Amino acid sequence: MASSIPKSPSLLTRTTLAVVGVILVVSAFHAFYIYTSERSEIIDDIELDVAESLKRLSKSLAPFIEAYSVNEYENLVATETALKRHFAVVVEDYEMGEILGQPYYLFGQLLQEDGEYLDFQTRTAPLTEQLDQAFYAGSAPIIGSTGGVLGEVWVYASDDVLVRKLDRVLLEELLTVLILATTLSLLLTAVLRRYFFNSILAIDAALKNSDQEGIPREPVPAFRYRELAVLSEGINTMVDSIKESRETLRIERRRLKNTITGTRSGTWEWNIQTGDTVFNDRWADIVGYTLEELEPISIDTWMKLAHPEDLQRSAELLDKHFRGELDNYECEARMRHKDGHWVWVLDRGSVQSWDENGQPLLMYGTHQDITERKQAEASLSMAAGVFRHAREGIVLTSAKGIILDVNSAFCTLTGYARSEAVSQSYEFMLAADQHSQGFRKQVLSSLRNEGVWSGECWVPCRNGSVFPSLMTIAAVYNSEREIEHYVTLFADISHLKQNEQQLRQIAHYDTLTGLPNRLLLSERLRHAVSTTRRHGDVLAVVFMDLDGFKAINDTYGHATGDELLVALARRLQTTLRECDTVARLGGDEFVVLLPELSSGTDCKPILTRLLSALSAPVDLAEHTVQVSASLGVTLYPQSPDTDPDILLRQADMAMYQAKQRGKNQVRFFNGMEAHAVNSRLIPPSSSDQSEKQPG
Amino acid sequence: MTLLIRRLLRIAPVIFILIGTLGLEVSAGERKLAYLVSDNRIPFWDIMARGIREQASELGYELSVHSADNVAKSELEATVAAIGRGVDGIILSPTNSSAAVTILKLAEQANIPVVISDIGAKSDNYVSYIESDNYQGAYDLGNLLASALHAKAWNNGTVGIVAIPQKRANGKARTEGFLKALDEQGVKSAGIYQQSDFSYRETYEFTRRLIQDHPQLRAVWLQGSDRYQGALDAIADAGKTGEILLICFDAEPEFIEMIETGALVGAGMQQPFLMGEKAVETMHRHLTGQTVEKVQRLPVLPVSGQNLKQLLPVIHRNVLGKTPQE
Repeated sequence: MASSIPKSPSLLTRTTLAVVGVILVVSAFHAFYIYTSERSEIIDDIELDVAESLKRLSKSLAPFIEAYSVNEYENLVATETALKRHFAVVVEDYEMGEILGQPYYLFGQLLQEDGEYLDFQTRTAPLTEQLDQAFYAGSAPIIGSTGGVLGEVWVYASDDVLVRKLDRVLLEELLTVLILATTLSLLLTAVLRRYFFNSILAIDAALKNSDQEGIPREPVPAFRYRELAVLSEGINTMVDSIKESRETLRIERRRLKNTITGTRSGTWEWNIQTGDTVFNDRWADIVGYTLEELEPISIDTWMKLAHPEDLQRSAELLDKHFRGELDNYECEARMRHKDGHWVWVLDRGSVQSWDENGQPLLMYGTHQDITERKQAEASLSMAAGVFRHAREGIVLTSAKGIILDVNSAFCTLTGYARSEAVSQSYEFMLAADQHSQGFRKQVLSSLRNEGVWSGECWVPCRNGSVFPSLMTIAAVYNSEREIEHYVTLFADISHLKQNEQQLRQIAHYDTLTGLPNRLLLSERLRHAVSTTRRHGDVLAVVFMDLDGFKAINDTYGHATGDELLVALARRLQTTLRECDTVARLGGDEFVVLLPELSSGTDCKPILTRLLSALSAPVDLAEHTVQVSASLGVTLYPQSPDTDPDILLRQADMAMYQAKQRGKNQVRFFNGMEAHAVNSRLIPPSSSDQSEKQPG
Repeated sequence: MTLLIRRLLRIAPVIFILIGTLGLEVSAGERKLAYLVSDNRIPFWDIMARGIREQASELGYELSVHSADNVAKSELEATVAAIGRGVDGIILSPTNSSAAVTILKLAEQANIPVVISDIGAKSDNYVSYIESDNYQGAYDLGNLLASALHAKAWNNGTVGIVAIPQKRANGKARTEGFLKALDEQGVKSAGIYQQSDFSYRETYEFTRRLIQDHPQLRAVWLQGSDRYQGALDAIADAGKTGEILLICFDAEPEFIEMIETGALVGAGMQQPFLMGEKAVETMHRHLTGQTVEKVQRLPVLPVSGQNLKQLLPVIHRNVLGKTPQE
């Protein structure tokens, strides 16, 4: 930008030259006017001089002619001629001519080249020729005192005077013009420099003190004179405006750049009529190239890379845009990536300038890589399909737990119509009386911390029933990692639950008696141990084996034996407390857990009732049988390392002792540990004593 | 032979005319001169004409005298006539110096030499100009008057001047010469009046004013001669006769007696007869191929009571033109 300044002409020089030129032109016009005026005046003067001389001579010569004072009038003529610098004066003296015997006596004076006057008395041919060449001539008769014509006088004026005077006028005017032009130019230059150019230079200096973009750093100084002050203020206002505009432009440019960069948009400029095209780096990057690799770049670059089908659609849309049917051109098109795959771009733009014929000239637009979006759309389409066709119930809720949508499976499973569910709280999905507050907290905590919760949950139905479900609740985050939605997917697991219950029944309960089996016993024993340790009370583990069962089994068969076992199981269940557990280990072995005892002796009534219950006759379908039971009892707490298996073995050992001691009795474990226990828990009188039931 | 002589005699006048027309000098006796004088009724010019006749006759010239009687037309007509007659030379005493120019021009056109006697010309196309030495004459006259005043012991007396027009060269010369002498003699000038119409009345009035305005006036110098009576009468009327002296330039016949009686203390007398003779002589010399002076000044005689008798013969001939027979 600065390089052009030194080549620029100087305003001062131009102004001065212009002023000089104007002054010269004006002066020239003035000089021309003066010249013509002077010429006219001089001619008038010449004519007037001639007329006056004629008048004067005709009047003054007469007395001299009458007096024959030839020399006098000749002197007079000479004086008049010399005084007026006439070209020539000729007098024809009739009186003197009469004396001479001629028509007239002639006396003339003719101006010569040397400035002297030549007297002549005759009109020779050369003289006549010279006189004829006079610029102006006039004549007058010389009238005598008596009225007679005494002669005639001619006065000739040459243009020498005219030329000389005009030369003088020209010279004076030229000198005037020169002096005037010089003086005015100097004065004007000084004035301009003093009042104008110095100010301009100050403005120039202020403007030159500029930043890289040429914007002045400091404001233009204020000036004393109004016009310059207005100019200065105007420049400052303009500079301020430019600065603001530049800042705005910079912000907008940064925004645009950020937008382009942020949106990762490719940009293109297309001269529709020449095909010249400009892409940015991103445009090429979208299709895996660098701009250098795409050289030479033209509209053909686009056409080569675009999918033929999309190119056809693009052309149609462009045509509509050019015809004004579309305000903007927008086309989703596939482009061949450098790696060979297709990438989707959103090609958008509009014509920004038109030629004088109304044809589109320049068009600007962007390319946006929408491959992911396209893929997302495909995924979404799939998701929509899943949403619509899944057998699981799907509930879409807002971050605040408001149901936004439910799928048809939800409606099928719950019996609710979509309209009944939408806008309801998520509580709607949970069977209120089936879930504790802790459950809800757990769910929310999991969602909050992990973004997902999965578990079983009871789902209410429109008919008031509930069904178990395997539910997964997932939080859907936005780009700010804020929860936008929750997607709840649940499946009806009623059948699974039933199967599970059945399996659990099979696994934990004796299929014959329905009593807990060994597995469930172990769980409950561990639970009871744990609870006893925690509560500080006493647990009694009773190992029980029927006496005489084998005989019945052998006598009446297994069916009767089984029927007996079932009956005794019922009897045991009714005999024990609600908190007690009775399990069948197999055959005729049972274990009874008696928790929440305040002491070892508290179990004796129960044990007694057990012996009684088991030893009472049992009416079977076909038989009435009677058995007894040997009970081995061990108590807990014991040493800290005593586990449930040890307790069972201790009880088993005690039962064995009871068997050995005669059956139908209760025997407490009496090992080293048990002894210690017995000494503390069981009264010493009965510590080594088995309880024998009659019968 | 006789026939040849007869034929020659028959054509002789024609030959002579042709020779005369061509201006060839055949012999002195055949040469003609013309004297153009302004007015020979004036004694001065008449005396000069006599001198011219005398000398022309002596040198064998045929002379014709033409007096214009102070009329310009007559003077021009005389000039044209003289030229028409084919005179060999013209002696010119013009009516004025301006008229002389035209005459000289006409003569020049006719290739006729002109000698001017006394009145000058405003051109120089003449052979010679003969005049009185006015300056010297006036100077001598001034000295003469101063001596007279000193003789009367009128050392403080002043001199008034009644002058001819000072634009004329002779007037200017006279005044300058006279004043120079007065200055050298320590005599003061009282004042000067310039004549215009040369009348008695004018002379009388100027003299009266000088007497009236200058009590110390002891002399009046009249630069002309013909109106001396006006000055005398003014002096007499002022009762200053004998107390104021009168001195004149030029001469009148009665001046001799007046100088003798003391009525006139002196006069500067020009010599017209001598001037006429000198003019012809000069023309003759010119026509005979001799060199002549362009200007010849003849002395003016300062005549006073002291030198009157001595100069009287010269005065009679050269001033008054009286031949010995007269």
